[in-house]
Amino acid sequence: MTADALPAQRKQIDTIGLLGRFAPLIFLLVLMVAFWLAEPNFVKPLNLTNIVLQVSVTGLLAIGMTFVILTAGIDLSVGSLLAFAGLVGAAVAKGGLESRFAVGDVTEAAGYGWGLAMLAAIAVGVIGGTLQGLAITWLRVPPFVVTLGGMSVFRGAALLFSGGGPISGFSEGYTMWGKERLFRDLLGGVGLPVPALIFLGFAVIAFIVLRYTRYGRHVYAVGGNLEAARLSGLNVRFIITSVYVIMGFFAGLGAFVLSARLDSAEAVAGQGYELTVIASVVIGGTSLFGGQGSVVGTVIGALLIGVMLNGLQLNNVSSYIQQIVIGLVIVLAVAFDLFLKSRRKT
Amino acid sequence: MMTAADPLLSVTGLTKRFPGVVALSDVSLSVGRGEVHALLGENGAGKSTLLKILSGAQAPDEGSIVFDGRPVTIHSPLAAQEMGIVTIYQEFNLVPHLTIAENVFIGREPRRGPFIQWRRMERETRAILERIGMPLDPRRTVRTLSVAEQQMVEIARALSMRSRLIIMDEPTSALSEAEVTKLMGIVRDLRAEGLSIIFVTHRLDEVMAICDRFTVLRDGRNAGAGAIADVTVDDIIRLMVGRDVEALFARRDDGPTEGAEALRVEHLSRHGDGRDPHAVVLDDISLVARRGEILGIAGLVGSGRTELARAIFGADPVDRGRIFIDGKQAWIRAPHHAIRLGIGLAPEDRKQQALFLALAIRANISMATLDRLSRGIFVSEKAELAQVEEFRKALNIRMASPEQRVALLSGGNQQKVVLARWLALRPKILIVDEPTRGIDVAAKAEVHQLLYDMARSGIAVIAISSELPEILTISDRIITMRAGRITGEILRRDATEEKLMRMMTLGDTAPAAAAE
Amino acid sequence: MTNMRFRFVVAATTALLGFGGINAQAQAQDLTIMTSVPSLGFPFFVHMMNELKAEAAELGVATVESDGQNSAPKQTADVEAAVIQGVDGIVISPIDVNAMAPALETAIENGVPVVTIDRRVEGVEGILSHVGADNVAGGEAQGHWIVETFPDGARIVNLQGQPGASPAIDRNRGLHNVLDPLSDKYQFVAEQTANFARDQGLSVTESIMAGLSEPPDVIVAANDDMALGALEAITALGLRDQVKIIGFDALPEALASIRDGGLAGTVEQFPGGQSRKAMQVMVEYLRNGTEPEPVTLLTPVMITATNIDQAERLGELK
Repeated sequence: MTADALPAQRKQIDTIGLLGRFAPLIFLLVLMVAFWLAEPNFVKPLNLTNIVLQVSVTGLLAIGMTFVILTAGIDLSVGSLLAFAGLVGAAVAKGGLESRFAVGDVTEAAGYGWGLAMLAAIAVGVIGGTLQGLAITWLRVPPFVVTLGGMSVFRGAALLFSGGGPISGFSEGYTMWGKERLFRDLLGGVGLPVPALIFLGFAVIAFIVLRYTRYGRHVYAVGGNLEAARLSGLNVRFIITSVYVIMGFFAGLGAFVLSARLDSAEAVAGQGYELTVIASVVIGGTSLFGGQGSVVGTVIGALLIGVMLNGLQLNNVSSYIQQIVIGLVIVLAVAFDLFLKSRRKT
Repeated sequence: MMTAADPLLSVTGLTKRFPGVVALSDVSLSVGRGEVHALLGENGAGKSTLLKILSGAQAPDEGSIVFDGRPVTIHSPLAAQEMGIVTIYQEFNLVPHLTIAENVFIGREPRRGPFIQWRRMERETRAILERIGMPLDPRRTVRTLSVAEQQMVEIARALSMRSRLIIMDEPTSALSEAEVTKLMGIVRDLRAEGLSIIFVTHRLDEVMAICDRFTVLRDGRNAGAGAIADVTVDDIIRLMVGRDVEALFARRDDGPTEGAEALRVEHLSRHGDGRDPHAVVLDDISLVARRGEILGIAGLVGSGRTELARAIFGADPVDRGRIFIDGKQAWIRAPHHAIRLGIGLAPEDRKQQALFLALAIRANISMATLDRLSRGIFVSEKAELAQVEEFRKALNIRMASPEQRVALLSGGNQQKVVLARWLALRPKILIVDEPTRGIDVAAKAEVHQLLYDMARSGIAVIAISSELPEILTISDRIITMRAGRITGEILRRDATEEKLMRMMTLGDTAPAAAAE
Repeated sequence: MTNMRFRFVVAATTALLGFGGINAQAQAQDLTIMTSVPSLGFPFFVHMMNELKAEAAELGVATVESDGQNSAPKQTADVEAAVIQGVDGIVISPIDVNAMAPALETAIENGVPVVTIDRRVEGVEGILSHVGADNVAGGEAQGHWIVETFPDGARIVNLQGQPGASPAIDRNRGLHNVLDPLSDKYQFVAEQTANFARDQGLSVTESIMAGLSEPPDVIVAANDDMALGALEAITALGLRDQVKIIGFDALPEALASIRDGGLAGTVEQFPGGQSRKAMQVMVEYLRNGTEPEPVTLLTPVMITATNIDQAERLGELK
């Protein structure tokens, strides 16, 4: 009954296993071909790089969320934390709230530059994540509840901090992190957008951490079987807390990139991001029950959502129909993944 | 070999294929009326598949089933129940927060109009419970019951359905000896009432004690069948494993009694949580474990044996007491403290407490030793694979590859993976809790041999088991527990099952705390 | 240990809840008016609330503030609480034209007069007065500006607001009222929602631009946030000089952008003027019994670089 009893069958099982592993990718490619056939402009290099650019912020958050969901946790506060972190970073760049609408380098002389702004945004994210992680591990409040509270607290903090208004008009050094394209000679002069490179770069780092390091192994272990992880000598409190810290890091980084891209930070930024982010992770095949999944899947999941939005907009599909299509595709993508996975088991 | 003249259940030519596997091949089974029939076989022999087909959970590819003289097709679990075939699984299908009566009649509540007739339901439940000699209050919630009592509720449910054939899958694996004796009595009573029972178990002493006839499966085929009266345990083992009993574990010596002290526990106490009626208190436990010996801890379910292991390992908090490792006082508040000091614990429940079912064998074995296998923050795949290979050889773990998910292994091989994780740590002290629960005879012997070899290599092994024969086979010295206290200590060469049972159930302790 | 944890959680929760609820201000004044806006998460409504409070202070009445938090049940609960608290009048910008009707009906039945700002409620008898700007007229103002700016016709990208929201529907309708009869010259090459959000204004514009073989002449957005997002996309493509972008709401940031040559224009609906007018009407009625006009509509004005000094919130720019 077990695979070890039947070496002759192993090859066949592996083929299905391979298909199962790449289910989200297959789904993504099919979707892309469909859009290509409907609208040839879809495959223009500019459009394809735009898709990666458009998912880069939620994609960064989704990388962090992959860590969280692998431990069978959830973080609903990402959008709010992103708004708060972005505002703090922006205020640092501008040297306060007074000159919030003034444009360009002139006023940034009064501020502390994009470097400190980025660090400030990330620091806010990390602190927010740490507080939530500690509440989960030491007060033993379930992650859903802690981060539901966090969602409200951070949004409130963002509104309080900014008085409801946006902070905009940054220096070029700041906005280049959201707008610049590098390697201009690539892709017929289109080049690669900086946010997309940041997103993909951190995806690679996260992949390596989860796949090849001790810490990554611990994350999978805690999500797969908490009690077994504890009895294997893992410091489960530290590990669980740490994934929320990582999530916070990505919320801060995402906030910086988003504000650079929009040339503005707002208290209403990132509303509803938690759902897009969780959807990206889940479409990528990561189990909400923890212990199974990968960053590669998450990247594909994020791209799938981006492709879908872009493709529908490009074809000028009515926004009412878009919502229906997106919902159906999410369910179908996960169903397809589960179908192949269930085949793999037997 | 005889077959029943007018069998209640007669299965012939049953075949079931799964993608890539033939689970059952031309299997026959005949169960007479008023007969207790043992269905035997190693893990993976096809017992589970056969049970699933009989209970309607799966459909056979070929073969016929005749029940009560009529050919039948069992479409669904409901159809099986309506025919009178009820299966009691290893993991109970009870709803913990409902009462006994609600569980017994779940889905079939007696009604008048839209209203449930509570009185009637409770009256009938009480009658059934009395019939099986278990006078429990039908209004108690199942959560507050012991494992044995929950099993009785399952049996009561089966009886309330007027079943004619009850299939019991490993009914005794979670029970203490006393509870097993009680279950045996109930099984005999049911047989006397004319019910037929299929009894699936790994414990051959129980088979010899209670079963009338047996069927042995091996590799999905019939390996033998007949009357229990005509065979010995060794005959059955030979049929099950397909080789001679001599290959199984046999001790060669009595072991050292004066090795260096590895672990000393002094006055360890733990007060339970007041809200939990089943919390077991550890009451002033003191003991010593020596290098090179296997210290057996025997006790009934609820005696505190598992709690003692968890307390030493830092998995549960303690209120009082000191622990010394190699004569030095140790500070253990969490498992990782214990591990750093060289203590390992292979817990009672493999799947819930030890294995990462979704992860590869490689990751399961290395989980407690990743520090040693890493370079900087990175796990060295090479070192990890070398470790797997080392233990695959040493423990004879049968696997397709180190990347195989551990969920796909048999119970015995899974247990070896757990043991490998702890051996890899090269512990000074290894605690194994129910090391052979739910694994087949041959694998059991291998595990016993392993524990023996570990001890002789200088590890202090502490073995906990609810099976007295196992304790008697592997221990050098045995401590008995009851109601959270140590009730006695005896060397193996002086111990017998009767003596141990007396120490476990009588002892000099106060009356049992769990008065129910 | 567990007990202490519990106590901590209770204390923390109580503290958090304390922040919510209704925050009554100074008690000295003779009248107390409840002021409620859909969401203080949006600068537009923050401004509206600030103007309401400022006017109330000038008139010497107390206010009870409520933030609808974009949730009709929340705003309903606030209204109900205010009625029980015994406020003298309610000045409200309702979240939803239908969902807020029952709560305001209850208020009126209890003798509390209601003035609505910006958005109306439907089917409620006895609303004292409505002060607002006509969103349809605002959309028409955008349309007229396009016709004037591009007399020979234009290719238009339309960024719509949140599907189903009444300002989104009305602004879109106004735009089409003007341009649909001239459809031989004015062509909508793409119409997509960007949900009133800046990040979506950016990404939707990026997607649309990739699908168009040549850039449009003008991008019309149903609010300034989306317009500013679109501006980022257009700037990144280096088309800032070829594509004109207009928004709606005359937010300070949009005004700054117009001043600095970014956006081409925005629509000013004078939310502050509406708010002050509504407060005046309410207080006048309560003090002197003056029955106001049932509906007062301020005419929306298209703001461009030439008439930027008409914008209400220009003073907020530094």
